[in-house]
Amino acid sequence: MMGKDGNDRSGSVENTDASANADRSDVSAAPPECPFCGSSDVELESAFGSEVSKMQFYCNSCRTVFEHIKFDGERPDTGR
Amino acid sequence: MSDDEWPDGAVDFVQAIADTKLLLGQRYGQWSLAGPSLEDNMGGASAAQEEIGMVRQLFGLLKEQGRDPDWLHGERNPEEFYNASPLDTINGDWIVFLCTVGPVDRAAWYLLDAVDHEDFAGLVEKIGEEEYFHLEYHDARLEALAAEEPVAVQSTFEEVLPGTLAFVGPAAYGADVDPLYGAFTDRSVAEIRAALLAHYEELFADTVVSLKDVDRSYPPIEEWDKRRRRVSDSGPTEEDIKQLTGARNAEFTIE
Repeated sequence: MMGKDGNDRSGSVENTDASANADRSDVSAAPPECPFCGSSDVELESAFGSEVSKMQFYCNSCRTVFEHIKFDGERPDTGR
Repeated sequence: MSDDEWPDGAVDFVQAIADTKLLLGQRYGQWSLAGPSLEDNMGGASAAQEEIGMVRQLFGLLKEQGRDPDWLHGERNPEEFYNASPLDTINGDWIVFLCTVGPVDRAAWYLLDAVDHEDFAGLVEKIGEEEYFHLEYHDARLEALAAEEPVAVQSTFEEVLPGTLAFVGPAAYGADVDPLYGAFTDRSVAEIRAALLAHYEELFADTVVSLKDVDRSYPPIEEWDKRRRRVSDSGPTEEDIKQLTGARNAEFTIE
């Protein structure tokens, strides 16, 4: 599938320059579903978004960039 | 939103969390121009945006409970802000900044995490995801600073932690005394205070920073303002309030 930059992105995350950051422990391992169309055909666009706690994904289905919180589902420990 | 009115004291409790986050947003914004590196400054700017986003959500709930929108958004005097007192002013360098906002941000999270009410379902989860980043960042930096600048870290903690404990509430508010426990929260003030202190004792355990001189009895319950969760009558400066309310931006308003 062609990405928005005209490159073939069918190989998903591994094909992107930003994929090196996917090995970072602070980046979620599993890509999220697109919040607009629900597709799982998404790829990591950038390890940083508008805020450093977010990263950007590109949806190959609806061709939309969306942001995702790195620590999705994580909660800080409260000593309970 | 639920149909239920919150129990007595709950609105003030949430107001204190919201106003603390409002001031945290202001302090993080100032930090974004004062950090030792570009990454630290980006972290400050990022945290500022997130705190202000949380304020918007919490103010929304407070409006539903009858708080006046104009009052919430800044038409009030300094002594009407319910923020944690260590955020009134921060005099010092970036180390003092970090050692002040770190424990206060963590305390605000512990209080919010203790809320057990359906109006907060989902909201606390979302805030927790953002706070995870803030608190991990603080702790990593605090550990490093405890090794590099132990005197400054320890002296700032000795100054800031009592006011932070006052924000949480009096030590006497155990499960049988805390008026919100069981009615609005599922964790007593005394338990939250203990967890907060234990966290920093563990964080600094392998450093020379000691918290043994921190006044753990603070605040005196007879002097504690239960609405503003502090002892002093002070508040943020008029200058801070002007910036928080955007009063100076009014000249750019398009009528």
